[in-house]
Amino acid sequence: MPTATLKRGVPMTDDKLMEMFLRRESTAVACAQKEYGKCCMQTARRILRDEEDARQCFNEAFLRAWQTIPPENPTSLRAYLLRLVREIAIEKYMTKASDTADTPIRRIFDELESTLLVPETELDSDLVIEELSEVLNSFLSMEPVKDRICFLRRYWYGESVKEIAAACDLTEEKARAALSRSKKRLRAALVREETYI
Amino acid sequence: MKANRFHVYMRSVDASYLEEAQSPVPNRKGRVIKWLMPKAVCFILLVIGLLIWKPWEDMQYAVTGEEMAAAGYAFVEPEGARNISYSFAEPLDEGAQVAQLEFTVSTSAYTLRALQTDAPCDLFDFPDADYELTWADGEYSFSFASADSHENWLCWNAPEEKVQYALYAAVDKADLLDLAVDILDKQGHPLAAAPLDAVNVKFDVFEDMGLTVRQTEFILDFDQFVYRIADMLTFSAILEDISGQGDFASIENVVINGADARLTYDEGGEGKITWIDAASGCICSLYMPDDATAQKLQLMAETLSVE
Repeated sequence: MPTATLKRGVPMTDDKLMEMFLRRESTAVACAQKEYGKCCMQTARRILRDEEDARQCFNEAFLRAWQTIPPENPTSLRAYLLRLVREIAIEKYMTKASDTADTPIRRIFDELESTLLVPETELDSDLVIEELSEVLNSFLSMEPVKDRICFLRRYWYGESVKEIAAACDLTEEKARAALSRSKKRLRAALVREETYI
Repeated sequence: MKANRFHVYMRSVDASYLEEAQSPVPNRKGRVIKWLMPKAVCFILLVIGLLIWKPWEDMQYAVTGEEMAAAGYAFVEPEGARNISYSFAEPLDEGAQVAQLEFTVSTSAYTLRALQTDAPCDLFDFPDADYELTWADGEYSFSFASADSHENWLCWNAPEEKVQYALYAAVDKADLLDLAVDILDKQGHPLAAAPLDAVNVKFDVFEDMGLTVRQTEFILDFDQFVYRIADMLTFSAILEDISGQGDFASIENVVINGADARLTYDEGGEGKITWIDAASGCICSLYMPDDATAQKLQLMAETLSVE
């Protein structure tokens, strides 16, 4: 029978891990990977189909965190790592994806897109991209905090309604209702600002 | 064009909002109750522990660890053990001296007894248990018993050492088994079945469909697995399923180390594989609650199955 190695220990807090990064302790990355590895891999896998690509994103995110903290001093290490994983995964997705690339986050985005479908225009224009960014961030700034969190977790992190409800201490029905409200408000904001994609 | 739309949206949100979305969400409701709850539970457990503790009727003689080793008993001190004391309890019968290690982990008191003997025997004189489960693992024989759901003990017979061990505590079954996993791991005969690099290893034993099922939960490479194994009472042509899970979207017949196995899973979701291990005469199941793939289930099943 294979030999089991029992690993015991008290889970490290986010603050403790952040301290380790700021003090440049050599075990900081390993400890952070142990605590946050699962959620980081899940985030990467929602964006990328290939397991090897997801693993590369995972490693690169932790390397980037090590290289940027300090001077960066995020309030939540977990959130910072997840944002890095997401950004790197999106970059990799953009270099690899075709129009038909089917990943969990892409399927979820298509769900959002069906609400926002408006006449298309040139996307290569930096001005249009900048305008969209302004409208999106302005919309997000007006959203109640929980609605904003639900919305971004769903459409920018690709999490399921069940996961969002658990994380935000909501029932699944309330989480769905929050998402529905946010989608309607985003559509209204885009139409009002005449920002077409 | 569709890809561009996706790309543009994904890049457009401010980093501060993306980080906020993954930061802990404050929950105002029940904050006071949540603050009090663990303290109240600890207090209640402490009171229960004190109330059910009874002074040993046996005469006990305190000895040092070295004296215990010289008597032929090499106790393993579990991780986190405090207030450690060695002693010899009153002999069960003429000449049979029971060695004893008492210690605390967190706030709970444990007693580990050992007796040099060829045959399994009882080392504690306790009231009748509510239930008792017995199983064998190689040459080791185990029994787990529970009384009133808060007195639990695990006994095992180590044939190479010719020693009978018994671990007792007035704690939850999970806590006792967690400690037993640590002790047996250090003794060189793991209680739980998990790969070498697995973490968060948890062992449980219970009865299901008339079988004594041993369950090991573990995480490897961020994937969670639940492995169950039970001795077959009789040979059956029908593959019993001890996983406790239903079927999923995809179903395949596969082979695990020469044995027929049944694999069912939702790609990227839940999945399980069940098989009969002919070498050990055991029914086995392996379940993944998340991120299941056929490849992961088969590889892990092959790793765990006795060849």
